[in-house]
Amino acid sequence: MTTTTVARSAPRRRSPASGSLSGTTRRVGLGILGAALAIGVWYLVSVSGIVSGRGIPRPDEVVSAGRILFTEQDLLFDVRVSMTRVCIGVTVGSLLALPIGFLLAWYPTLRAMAEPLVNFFRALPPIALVPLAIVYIGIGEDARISILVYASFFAAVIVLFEGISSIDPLLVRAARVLGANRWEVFARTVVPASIPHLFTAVRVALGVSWATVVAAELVAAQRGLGAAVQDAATFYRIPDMFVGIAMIGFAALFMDLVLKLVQSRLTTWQEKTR
Amino acid sequence: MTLTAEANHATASDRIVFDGIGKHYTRDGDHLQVLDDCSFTVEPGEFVSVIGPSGCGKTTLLNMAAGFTSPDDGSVRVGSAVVDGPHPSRGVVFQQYAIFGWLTVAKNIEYGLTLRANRRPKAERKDVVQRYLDLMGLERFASAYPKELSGGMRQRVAIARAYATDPRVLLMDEPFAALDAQTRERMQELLHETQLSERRTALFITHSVEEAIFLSNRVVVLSARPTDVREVVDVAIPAPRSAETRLSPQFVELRRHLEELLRSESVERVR
Ligand SMILES: Nc1ncnc2c1ncn2[C@@H]1O[C@H](COP(=O)(O)OP(=O)(O)OP(=O)(O)O)[C@@H](O)[C@H]1O
Ligand SMILES: [Mg+2]
Repeated sequence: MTTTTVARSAPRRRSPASGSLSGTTRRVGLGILGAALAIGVWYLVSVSGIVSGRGIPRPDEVVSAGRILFTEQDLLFDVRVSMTRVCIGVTVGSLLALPIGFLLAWYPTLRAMAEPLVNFFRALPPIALVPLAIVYIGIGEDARISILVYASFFAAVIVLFEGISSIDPLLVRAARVLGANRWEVFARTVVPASIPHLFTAVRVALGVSWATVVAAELVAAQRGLGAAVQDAATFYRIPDMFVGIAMIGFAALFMDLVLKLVQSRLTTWQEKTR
Repeated sequence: MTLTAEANHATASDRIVFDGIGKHYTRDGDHLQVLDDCSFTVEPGEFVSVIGPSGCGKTTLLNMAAGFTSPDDGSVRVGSAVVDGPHPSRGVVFQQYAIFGWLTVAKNIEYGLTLRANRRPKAERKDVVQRYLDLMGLERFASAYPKELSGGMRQRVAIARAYATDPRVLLMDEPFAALDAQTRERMQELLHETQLSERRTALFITHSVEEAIFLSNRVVVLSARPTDVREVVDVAIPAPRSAETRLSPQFVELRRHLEELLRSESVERVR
């Protein structure tokens, strides 16, 4: 045998930790610089008084307002309430979307029938359903969660079935010629090939749900970040509003980051197109 | 020594027979007769290449043998059974790298052996995987994911995976078409060596006359559409073949002849 003619170098694995350390440090550094600049601009704007009326609070005022909110008014509870709502909504919505997504991708007739409907309901802003939910379900937690499940479901199902239908049919053929039966084709080819799409779906659902929960809390809730901001607005506690809004942003960012981390752990095999 | 002389893997039940194959497609109401009374046979343990003008129906023929498409007229038989669907006894290597991105190289090769249709005990699976990792020069990539591999390596994984389930028949549709010239020649040599040690019945589709001669016992030349068999050429060049074989007078003469045949078919088609 002369198989040695074939190149045999070990695969070069680019470890993000070692290979591009300087790149990462640089990126983090630049990110911090950008944030610092923005805070600087904010500070200048707030002290210059060019914003008429009540003006905007200085960064340090917002920070001390935040400290009080967290220590004395339990803002963390509101953060938890909002995040819990989103988590339940996204989990239930995505779990429902999962089988439906597979069904729609698997059966073209079903898909053709359902696609206009799904598109309609996804295009409909979930917040438009809040009054309807209040009429039918009341103003309790059930109503808010139902809206979130709705929002997550339609956001996720579209990403899922488009992703799953884009799976290379050649992979299915390859599995079949190797002897896979229908179940094995599904469980050992279609499902693993769908995992990246599942993550995308959950991330999209998360984004939509987060937007929806805040909007819903602004109009109908006692606790939660949206309610906290609304509460502060009622009493013109402007720094408190800033704190609430900042927390909405941080919480959303945090949840997306966690998901991204899980995703990169579970789909290391995936080819990066970036 | 010729390739057919001592077929150790193949038995008479592996003969592939294309018997009077006809196939048409209807496109925008137009009737397109692709294959018309196309017949040839691949003998057990034999390596046969099919060449022909672009679009003449080579992939269609291979898909019939694989069981993805059925003929309108005639039949494809493997052994005595008419092909009526995919089966693990007929391994397929596709033109595009159809390997599973979420599995490592070793797991890709093992995939077929873990399915109900041909499940093997773990120890045996490990041996088979090791054997094909070695044979395809992939030992050091066993735990690598496909994204870390070059095109040539991916195709080697696909070939190893097809061999691993021990198919009686191998069907390959231009497996090296996407590779650069050097990699391609190395892959041909590797496949040739593998064929010498494994001796499976193989149907190989290619656009390259040189590739066809280098690998095959016989080369089937198809005509332009509606396609039938224009000529079947024996390649009486002894094995093992090497890089020098490509320069031998016999090889060059065969090549000239086959290129001539292909050219005349392409010209006919343009007219
Ligand atoms: N599903 C289909 N519907 C309509 N026409 C088809 C279909 N599949 C193949 N054809 C036509 O049949 C002919 C033969 O196709 P095939 O892919 O078998 O050719 P080929 O010889 O493999 O071509 P190439 O050398 O380019 O790979 C082509 O003209 C193609 O347009
Ligand atoms: Mg083809």
